[in-house]
Amino acid sequence: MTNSLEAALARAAGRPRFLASETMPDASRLAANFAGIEAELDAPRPSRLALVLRRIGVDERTIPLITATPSLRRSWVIAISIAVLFAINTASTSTAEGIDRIIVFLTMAPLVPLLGVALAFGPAVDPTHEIAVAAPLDGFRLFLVRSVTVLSTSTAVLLIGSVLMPEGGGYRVAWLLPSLAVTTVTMALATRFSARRAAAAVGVAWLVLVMIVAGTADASAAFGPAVQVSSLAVSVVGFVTFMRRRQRLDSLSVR
Amino acid sequence: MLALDHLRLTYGATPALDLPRLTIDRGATAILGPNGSGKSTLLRMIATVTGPDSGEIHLSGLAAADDVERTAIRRRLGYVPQVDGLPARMRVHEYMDYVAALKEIGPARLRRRWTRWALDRVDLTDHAESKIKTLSGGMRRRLTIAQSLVGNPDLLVLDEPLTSLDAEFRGEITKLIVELATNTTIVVATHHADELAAVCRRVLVLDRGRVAFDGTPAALASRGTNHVWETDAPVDGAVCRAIGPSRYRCVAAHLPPGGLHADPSVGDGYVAVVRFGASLR
Repeated sequence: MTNSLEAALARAAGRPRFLASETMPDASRLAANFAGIEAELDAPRPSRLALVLRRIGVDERTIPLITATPSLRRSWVIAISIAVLFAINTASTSTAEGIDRIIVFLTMAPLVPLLGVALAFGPAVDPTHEIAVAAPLDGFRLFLVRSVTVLSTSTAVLLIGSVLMPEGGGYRVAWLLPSLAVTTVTMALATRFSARRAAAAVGVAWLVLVMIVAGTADASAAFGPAVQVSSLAVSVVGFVTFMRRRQRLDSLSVR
Repeated sequence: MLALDHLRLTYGATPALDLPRLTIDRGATAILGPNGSGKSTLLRMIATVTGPDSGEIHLSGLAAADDVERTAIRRRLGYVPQVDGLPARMRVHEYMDYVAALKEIGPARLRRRWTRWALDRVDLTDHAESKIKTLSGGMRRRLTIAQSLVGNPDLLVLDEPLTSLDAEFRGEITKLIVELATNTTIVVATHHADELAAVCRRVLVLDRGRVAFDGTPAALASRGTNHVWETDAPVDGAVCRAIGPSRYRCVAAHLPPGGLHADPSVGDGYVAVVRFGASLR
């Protein structure tokens, strides 16, 4: 060991220029390296949400985009939870039977993610919108990340609500496909109109549809197999349209 | 180089912007003009936030109208909008991390380094953990400036960067802009003619969407020659501003009898161009 160290020193002694000019970093590089080390040592504490997202394996580049989603706040999750609790309470105290007992929940549930998407993107709800538009990140990617995040959060809370529903059998999750359908149609329309307008139009259309179907037949028809299959088809069409028109989310205008 | 080729925009029947061909080189160019003159509209166009009805914008040959080239422009752009647009509930470092992600800066470690560097430039490093809603108006403005510096852009578009800042930080930010202007193209809209426009390489004055003046700060100041004087009381028909107790600096098309000429500043020249332009030409 000592021998090899001495040998190395002897070799180095014979090459002073190599040591001085080729291995020693210049002052600016050294300063940059120290700044980097300092930045790591003083790295601010990530938020709880960021830590959870990191733990479940979300990509490092996507985490800040999710944590900055305007509608993804504690108040949003609390608001959905209260709405679901209210729906459970209504169902528990109702004297109706079968699907009629949870019809309010089934009708309102698809509107929750819809509202979330409407409040996730756009100049009216996102104070950083103008800076985001002027940034190179794909507007489509930002919109998609936020929509999927809001949809997942809302769906998780609503699924817990479905499990806690007192009655309804398989109908308790009959809102899932309609929810996907209204959300994807909203996303498709958001490539042309503002997300809020798109969500408002789709929300009203959904309520009218439920009233018409439930009015002409019984309530179970509004969430029966025909509506489920139609919802799946609409979801596919909505998503394909959204993907085909995604370039519009990067167009030269603040929507 | 930034090239603005005959930009036109109308709101209904009202023309908001009608510009000739302009090229803007490296260095700081100030845009002055009264409210509604089209300053922010022009800056939002340069920042690729909105598009013109007609005309083209190019940065180093890249066309803002082209989808792919626009993204390339945005990679080289830093933008301070007129309204801060800060999410109150976020912490300063979270917001900076978010902006760095919007600027496609990948690894979290690299984003942290840019955050630290940019916050350092505006003296906000000690507030990295603070919630944005707890920051003062001046701090919020400095944070908005900091986010524009992330990635060290080639083109900085700054809309009223000195708004809400006290005199000390106005000086600091002006110094920073001058420093950055040595290797960056900066377009800055401001109402601070004497503090900020005076240190820019070039000044453009917009009035009702058109260029009312285009030249150096010295040339703009010279437009006030023989039209500026100091007096003890405001004078009718003149634009007067208080410069001390019972002391006013006035600009008018004609000097009043007995009025003594004062050396015009850039701000005086600007007032002369906008308020009395027609009678001075």
